[in-house]
Amino acid sequence: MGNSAREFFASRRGRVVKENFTAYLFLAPAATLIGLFGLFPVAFAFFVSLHRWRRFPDHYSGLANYEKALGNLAFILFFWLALLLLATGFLLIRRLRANLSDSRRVVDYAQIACGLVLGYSILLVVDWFFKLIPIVMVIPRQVRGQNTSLELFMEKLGESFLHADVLLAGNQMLAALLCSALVVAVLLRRFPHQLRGQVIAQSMGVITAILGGIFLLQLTLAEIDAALAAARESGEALPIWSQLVFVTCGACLLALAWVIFQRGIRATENRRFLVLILAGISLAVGGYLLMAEMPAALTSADEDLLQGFWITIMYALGTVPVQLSIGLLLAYLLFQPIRYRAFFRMVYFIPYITPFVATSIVFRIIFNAPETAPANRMLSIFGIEPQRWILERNPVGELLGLPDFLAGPALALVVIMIYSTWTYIGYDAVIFLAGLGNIPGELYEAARIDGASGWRIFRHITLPMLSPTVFFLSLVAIIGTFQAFTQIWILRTGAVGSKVNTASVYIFDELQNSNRYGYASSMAFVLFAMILALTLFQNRVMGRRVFYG
Amino acid sequence: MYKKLSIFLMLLVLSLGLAQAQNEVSYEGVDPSGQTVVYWHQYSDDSTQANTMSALIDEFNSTNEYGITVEAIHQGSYGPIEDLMNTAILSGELPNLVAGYANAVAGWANEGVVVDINLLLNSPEWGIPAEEQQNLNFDLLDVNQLDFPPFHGMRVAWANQNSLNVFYTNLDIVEALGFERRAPQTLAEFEEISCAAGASDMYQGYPLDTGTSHFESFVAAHGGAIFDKDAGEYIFGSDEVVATMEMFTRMLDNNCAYLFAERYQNTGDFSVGITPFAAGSSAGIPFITWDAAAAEMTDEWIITAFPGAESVGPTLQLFVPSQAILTATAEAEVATWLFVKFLAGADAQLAWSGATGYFSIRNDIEVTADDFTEPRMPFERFLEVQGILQDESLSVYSSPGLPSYSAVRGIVPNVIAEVVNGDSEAAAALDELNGEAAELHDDLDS
Amino acid sequence: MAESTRNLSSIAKPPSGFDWSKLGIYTVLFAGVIVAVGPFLWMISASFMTLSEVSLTRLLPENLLWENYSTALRRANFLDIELVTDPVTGILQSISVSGYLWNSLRITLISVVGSLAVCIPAAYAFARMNFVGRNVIFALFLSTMMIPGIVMLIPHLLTVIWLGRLSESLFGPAGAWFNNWPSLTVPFFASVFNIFLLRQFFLQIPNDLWDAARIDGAGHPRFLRSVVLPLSKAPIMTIITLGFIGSWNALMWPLLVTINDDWRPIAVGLANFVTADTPGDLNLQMAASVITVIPILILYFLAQKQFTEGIAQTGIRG
Repeated sequence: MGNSAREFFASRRGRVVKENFTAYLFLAPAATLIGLFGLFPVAFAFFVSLHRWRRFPDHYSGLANYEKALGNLAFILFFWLALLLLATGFLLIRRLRANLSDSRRVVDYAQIACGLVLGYSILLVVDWFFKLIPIVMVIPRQVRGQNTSLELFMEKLGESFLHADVLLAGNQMLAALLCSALVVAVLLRRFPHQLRGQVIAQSMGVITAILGGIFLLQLTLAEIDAALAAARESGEALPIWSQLVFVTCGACLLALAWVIFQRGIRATENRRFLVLILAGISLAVGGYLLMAEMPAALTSADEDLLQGFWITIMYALGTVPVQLSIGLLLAYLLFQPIRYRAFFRMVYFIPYITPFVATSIVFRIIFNAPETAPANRMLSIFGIEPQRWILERNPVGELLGLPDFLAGPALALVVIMIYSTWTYIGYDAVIFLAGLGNIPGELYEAARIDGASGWRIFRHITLPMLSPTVFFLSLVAIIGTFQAFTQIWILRTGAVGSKVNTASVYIFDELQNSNRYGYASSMAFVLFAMILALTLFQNRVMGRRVFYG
Repeated sequence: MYKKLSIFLMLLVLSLGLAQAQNEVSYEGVDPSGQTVVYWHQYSDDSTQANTMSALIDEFNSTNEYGITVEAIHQGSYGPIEDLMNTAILSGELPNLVAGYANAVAGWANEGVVVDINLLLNSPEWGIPAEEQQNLNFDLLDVNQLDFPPFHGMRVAWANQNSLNVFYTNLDIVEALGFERRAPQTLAEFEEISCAAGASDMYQGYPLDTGTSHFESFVAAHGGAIFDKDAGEYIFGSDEVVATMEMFTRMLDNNCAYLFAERYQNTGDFSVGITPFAAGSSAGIPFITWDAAAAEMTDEWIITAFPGAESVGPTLQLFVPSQAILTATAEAEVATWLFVKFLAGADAQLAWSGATGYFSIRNDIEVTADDFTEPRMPFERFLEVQGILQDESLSVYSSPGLPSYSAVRGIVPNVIAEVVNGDSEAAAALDELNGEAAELHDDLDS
Repeated sequence: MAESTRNLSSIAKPPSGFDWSKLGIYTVLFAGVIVAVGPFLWMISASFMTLSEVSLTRLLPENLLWENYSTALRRANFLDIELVTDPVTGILQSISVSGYLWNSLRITLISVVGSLAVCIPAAYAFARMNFVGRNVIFALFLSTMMIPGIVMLIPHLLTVIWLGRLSESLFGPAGAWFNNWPSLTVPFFASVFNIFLLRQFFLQIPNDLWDAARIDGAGHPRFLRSVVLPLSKAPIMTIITLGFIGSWNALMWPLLVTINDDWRPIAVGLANFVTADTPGDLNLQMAASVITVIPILILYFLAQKQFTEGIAQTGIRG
C-alpha cells in the first residue's frame, strides 16, 4: 500500500494531486478565518436584513427593511440581483458546454451530476445553518435568571440542534451530503483518471446561481405583490411595475451607450459619427428615463440614508483626487536629485501612523470656530473673515457666493476631508515614489534625445508608466473613503448635525441609538453592494487604460 | 362585535396577569452568602467620585454579614457602557449592577434583563421597611419607576444621587453690560443680556449647546415638555418646543449666542470670564471653580435655576444617574440589592454627597460644610444649589424614561442644527421630527 | 530595491549657476514637512502647557510642565508596574505589569505573529502553487476587502462569543475569547491586504531558484522556509509595522469586546480618557496622546527603512 502510494505521488498526476493538497493545507488557516470573519458576516448580515430584528431576532419581514431604506428602488434592485444571478447561471452553463469534449461521454454527465448534487448539498448546509442561527442566538435570553455557567450554555446549544425545524433541515442536509459522498466515491472508483475539477466546480456554480436566482426572484415578486395589495387596500396607486420597467430600460440604455461609445472610438472615420450619434441618443433616452423615474421610485426612501450616500460621494470626490495629486507631486519632487530624500520620505509618513484619537484632538483645535483658532488666524493674515470650520454646516459653495447647484459639501466636511487627506498623502507619496523608481531610465533618455520638454515627459512617459500605481491607489482610496468612519465619527460636532454623516456613520448611529439590527443591516448591505458595483465599474473603465509595461 | 372584543380584551388582560405572576420571583429565604457582585460604573479613574466609591465598596465588602464581594469596573462614560451592555445582552454574560439613565435602562428592561427593584424594595426580608422608606426622596427615585406599558410600574433602576442642570451667571459681566446685578429673572431678560454681551467687544453671547438635554431644559423653561406622559406621545410640535427652537434661532442669528466644538467648552468659556451665562450639570460645579481659579478669573458668579417664560417661573431639569440590577440568580440579585441598599443608607449617603457634591436621595440627612471631606470641593456652591431647591415656585423637569428616548435623543441635535442654520422652518422641522419620534416610539417602546 | 533610489540625475541638465528650480523644490518639500508634522509638534508643545495656554493656542509653553505627564499617566491608567517582594527577605519574587500600554504591546505581538503565520503560507500558495479554484478563491478573498466594517460588527461579535464558548468548553477558562486576547487578535490574523502584499512579492522571486531547489529535492514547504522567507525581510517588516499600527490604533472593536482592564488596549484607554464624563483637561489629553504615539514612532524610526522599501517593492504591480 505504502509503496503504491509513493508510486502514485511520483507520477505526474500524483504530483498534481499532491500540489493541490499542499496548497489547500497552506490555505486552510487563512481560508477558515476569512470564511468566518469575512464571508460569513456578509451572509449573516443579509439574513438579518430580511428580518425584523432588534437585539434579538423577531420575525421574518421580507424586503420590508430594504423598502424602508430605498423605497420602491429596493424591489428594482432585488429584481436586478435575481436576474444577475440567473444570468451568471446561464453563462456558466455555456462555459460548461464549451468545456466538455465534443463527443459527450458518460464521464461528463457523471461529473455534472456530481457537481449538481454537491452544489445542492451546499445550499442545504446553508439552509440548515441559517435555521439554526436564530435559535442559537436567543439562548442568552433563555438562560436569564439562572446561574449562567458555561455548561448551561453548551447544554442549550446542544438542545438547539434538536429543534424541530433545525432537525428537519439537518436531516435533509445529512442525506444530501451522504448522497454527494456516495456520488463522489462512485465517480472516483469508476473514472479514477478522467475527472476534471473544473467541470464539477462549474456545475456547482450553475446550480447555486440558478437556485439562488430563483429564490431571490420569488422573494422579490412576492414582496411586490404584497406591496401592491397593501396599496390597493388603501386606495393608492403604486406604479412599481412601470418603475421597474422604466428604470431597468434606463439603466440598460446607459450601459448600451457606454458599449456603443467604446466601439465607436475604435470604428473607422466615416462610421464613427453615426455610432457616436447612436450612443448619444441612447444616453439621452436612458438618462431621461432614469431622471424621470428615480425620484418617484425613491419617494418613500429614508432621506437620511440618501443624504448619507450623497455625502459619501462628495467625500470621495473631495479626497481621492486631491490626495492622489498631492501625493504624486510630492513623490515627483522627491524623485528629483535632492538631498535628505530619506528624511522627507520618513516625515511625510508620520500622519499615517499616528492614532486618529490623538491627531483629531489637534485638528479640532486648529479648525475651531473662535477668531483665535489657528486656522482663523491664518485667514486673518490674508484679510479673510474668520470661519466657523468644524461647526459650519453651510456648504462651501454658499460661503464662496457660488450658485446653488455648486453648493458642494458643508465646510465641516471639508475640514474632515483635509484631515483625511493629511493622513493619507504620505502613504500615497511613498507608493508613488516606488512606482517612479520602477520606470526604466532609458525611456527618459530616449525622450530627452527626441527633445521632449519636462511636462511632455511627465505627460507621455511618467503618467502612463505610473498608471498601475494610480489604479491601485485610487482603488484602495475609493474603497477606503466609502467605508470612512472613524475620522468623521470623531471630528463631527453637534452644531453640524447630519451634514457630515456619511452612509457608514448614519448606519452606525442607527445601530447604536435604536438597536434596530435588521434595518441597519439592510442599509449596510446596500452600502456594500454600492462599493462592489463601484469597484467593478472602476475595474472595467479604468482597468482598461492601465498600461502594464 | 363589542362583546367579542371585550371578551378578547379580558382574556388578554388575564393572560398578561398570568405572565406577570409567573415572572414574580420570590426573594424570601434566599441566601446571598458569598456572592460576587460585578458593578460597571462611569466614574473616571482617580476622580473624587471613583475614589469615594471604592472606599464605600471596601467598607461594604469588609462589613457586610454575608461575605458579599463587590467588584467595581470603570467602563468609560455612558456611551461606552451602553455599547458594552449591547454586547452583554447578546452574549448573556451580564454584570450585576450597571450605571445608566432611565431611558437606557428601559431599553435593557425591554429585553428582559432588568430586575424590578420594587420586588426587592418591598420584600419583607430584604427590603427597606415602610417607616424607613419615608426618609427617601421618592419624587426623585420615581423617575426610574416606569408607569407606562410594557413596564406597568416596574422600578427599573435605583439612584443613590442626583444632579441638576443649573444656570450660571457672572454678575460682574451682567453689571458691566449695564444691567441690574442679579441673575436674569425671565427668558426675555436672559436673551437681552446675552445680546448685549454678544454686541460688546469684551464678551461673547451665550454658549449654546445643541444637545438634547440642554434643549429640553429650555423647553421646560418655556413651560413645556417633549413627551406628554399622560397621552403617551412625543409632542415636538407643541408651542413650547417651537418657541424654544425659535429662541435658539433668534439668538444665534442676532449674535446673542454662539455654538462651540469642544465638550464642556461652554462652562470652560464661562470659567475664564468671557460669557455672562452658561448652563450645565451641577456635577460640573467643581470644574468651573477650579478652572476659574486656574485662569485667575475673579468675577463673582452665582448658580440659579433656569429663568422661565413670563408665566412659568424658575425651572430646573433633574438628572438622575442611576444603577440597574440585572437578572441573575435570586441569590446574586439579593446580594446586589444589599449593596444598593447600603449605598442608600444614611452614612453612605452622607459620605458620598459630602465627597462628591451630588445631592442625596434621603430627606433625613443634611449635608453641611463639615461633611465635605474632599478639601478642594467648593462646598458653599453646593449649598447654594440646595438653596435653590427650597424655592416654592420652582418646577422640576425630567426626561422621559423610554427606550425610544435614546434614539430620539440622537436625532434632536441634527434637527436643532438644521433649524438654527436656517435650512428649514422651526415648526415644519419639528413636525417632521415628531413623526420620526412617533415611529420610534411605536417601534421601540413595545 | 536599488531602483527606488535611482533618480533623474542622469538626464538632468548640467548646473548653470544658481538653480532656482531646486529652491522651488525644497520650498515645497519643506512646506510639506511643516504640514505633515506641524500638528504633531504642537501636540507635544501643548502637552507641556497650562490649560489656559492650550485654550489660547499658544505656540510654545512658558514653562515646561512635566507633571502633566505624570498626572496623565496616573489618571489614564497607562502603565502600572508592581514589584512583589518577599515581606521577610525582601527578595524580588515577581513583577506584575498592567495598564493599557502593556495590553497593547501584548495584543500587538500576538496579532503580528499570528498574522504572519497565517498569511505567509496562504500568499505562497497563491503565488507559487497551482491548484483548482486558485483564481476564484483569490477573488473571493480580495472581495472581502470591500465589505464595509459596519456590516461585520454584529456578526463578528456573535462569532467571537460562540467560538469563545466552544473553546472554553474545550480548554477551560483560559480558552475564553471574549474579553481575552483571541477576540482582539484572531479575527485579524487572516489579513487579505497582507496576503496580497506578500503574494506580489513572492511572484517576483525568479523561477530559477525554484527549479534549483526542486533539483535539490526540496518541496514547497522547504523552499518557502529556506529560500523565500530569507528573501522577504522587507515585506515581512512592512507587515509587522502595519500590523503594529493597526492594532495600536484599533478603537471600535476593542471597545466592544473588552469588559475590563485585563486586555483593554491603549486607544480605548485614550478615548475613554478624552471623552470621560468629567470635563477633560486638554493639556493632559495632549500628554496622554503623546504617550500613546511614542511607541509607534520608535518602532517606525527603527523599521522605516525596510518598511518604506517593503511598501515600495510590494505595494504595486497589479
